Amino acid sequence: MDHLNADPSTTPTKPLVNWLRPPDSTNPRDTKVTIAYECCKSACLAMNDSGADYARK
Amino acid sequence: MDGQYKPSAYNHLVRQGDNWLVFNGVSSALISLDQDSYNRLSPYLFAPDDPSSKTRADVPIGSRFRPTLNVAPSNAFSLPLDPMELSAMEELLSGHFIVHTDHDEFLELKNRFESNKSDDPLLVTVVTTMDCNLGCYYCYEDKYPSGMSNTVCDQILDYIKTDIVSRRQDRMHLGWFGGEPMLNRSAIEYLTKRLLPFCDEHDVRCTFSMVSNGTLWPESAIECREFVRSTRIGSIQFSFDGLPNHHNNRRHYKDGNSHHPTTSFEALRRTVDALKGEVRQYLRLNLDDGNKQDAFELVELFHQWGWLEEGAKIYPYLAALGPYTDTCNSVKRNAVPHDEFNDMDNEFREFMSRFIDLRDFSYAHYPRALPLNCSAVAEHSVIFGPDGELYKCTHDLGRKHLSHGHLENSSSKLFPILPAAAEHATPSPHNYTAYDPFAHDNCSKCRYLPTCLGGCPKVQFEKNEYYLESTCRYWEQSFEPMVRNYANALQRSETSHLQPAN
Repeated sequence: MDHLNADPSTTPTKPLVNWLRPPDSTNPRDTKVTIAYECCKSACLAMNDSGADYARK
Repeated sequence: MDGQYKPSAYNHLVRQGDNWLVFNGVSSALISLDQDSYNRLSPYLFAPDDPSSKTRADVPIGSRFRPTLNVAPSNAFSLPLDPMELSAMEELLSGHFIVHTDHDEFLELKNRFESNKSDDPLLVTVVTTMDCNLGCYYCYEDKYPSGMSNTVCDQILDYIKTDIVSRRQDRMHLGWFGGEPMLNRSAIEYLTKRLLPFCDEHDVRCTFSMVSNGTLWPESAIECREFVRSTRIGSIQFSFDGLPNHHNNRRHYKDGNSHHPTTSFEALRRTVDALKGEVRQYLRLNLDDGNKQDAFELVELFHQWGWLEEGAKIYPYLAALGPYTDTCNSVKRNAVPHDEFNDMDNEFREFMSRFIDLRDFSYAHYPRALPLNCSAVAEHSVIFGPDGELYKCTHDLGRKHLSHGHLENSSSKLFPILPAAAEHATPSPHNYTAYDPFAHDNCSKCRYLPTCLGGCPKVQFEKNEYYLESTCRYWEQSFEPMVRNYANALQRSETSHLQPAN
């Protein structure tokens, strides 16, 4: 197809934004994630992660 | 959609091959832009002199502090006329990448933090004993022989019931902690047996976790599984200190390794294996200067043992040993330097992305806008010591002068738990619920504020220079590799779904 003669209204266009991860929910029931004990980065992930899990319901 | 807009002050730019990734700290959203999209949208995403508009390689270390909290009004823009760009603006607005000019993001974050502090679900940590069967050289706790009695368990139960009923809660979390919590397994079973009927009766969703050394679990895999089922424990953290030789030296039995037919490494391996697929297991790989070379070899072993297979629910991650408290101040001598650890950690995350779905363990693999930095600052979190003391921070455990009262003296108003009247205490306990990173000189201006919130509050209260430096270096060194690795893994996963299976 001769691109010079293509109808611009029917030429598919790629969106400018490619989403990799949507924004976190703003629903208070979803966002009430209690992070457990920080303990200097990555110390108690079992509690952190399960905290996130249970708050997500 | 009309009016004037400005870029979010918390946009971050990360290079990914020929494309650009843009992460927003307020919403945790992530987008990818090709070069053409980047050229068209970057004027809306970043102020001209914003350091966030440069990748880490272009920005000198130490430039994390923003010159201003909000982008100056001179950077405000009107909506573009081009239909494609206008459509993109709607998407950028939904992801918080652009905001209305009159929107105060800093105030939004601060309000969110305060709201999460006061309206948090009940989080209870129960320390069944301050004793342990292992004598790890780096342990930060002041240990002593102790065991939580049934009387204290009953008092804890009353405490929980009162909060659940008075606040009409429909969820809570309980974490078992020690010492080694399995030294007092009967307390776990006693309390669980009484808490579960209450939760079921009141339609409260209660989840359970544990931090354990893994050496005091039943030898039989069936019994291990039966124990977690009956106690509804859903996630457990175990620690490895390197390959067997290093692990057994560091996590040695207090009464001597020769008195035990099974090494601590082998006992832990057996427990993890027994629980594979049954509960989520977080394997913390503790690194010091003497075992740091073991990390990747250890994960290869995990792989051989089938621990990284789909459905195994086993998640290894690195942790740097350090001087958490005065009890283990000497650990600093053997600690891996911050920069070296961060580089290893970045490499390790990338390595792990070959085995696990990072979305399944995003806490460690993706920077999220935090509701709170630590439960110690939440109003409705409490740690019960074995004798009924109340604490807010696990690092205060065993130091009774840092406790926040005692179960026997607790009033009808349970929360917030405030430091006890510490007439003779030196140092005195911290008022954790008063912690406020938004009032902190550096943190309040930092581009990583939403994902860090100042890190550990105890470190901030005590101005612990070692860990303050560690926290800042972590974000400066790890943020970009973490985002890039996450995006790479997602895109690899999408590509593999598109390809026919061999």
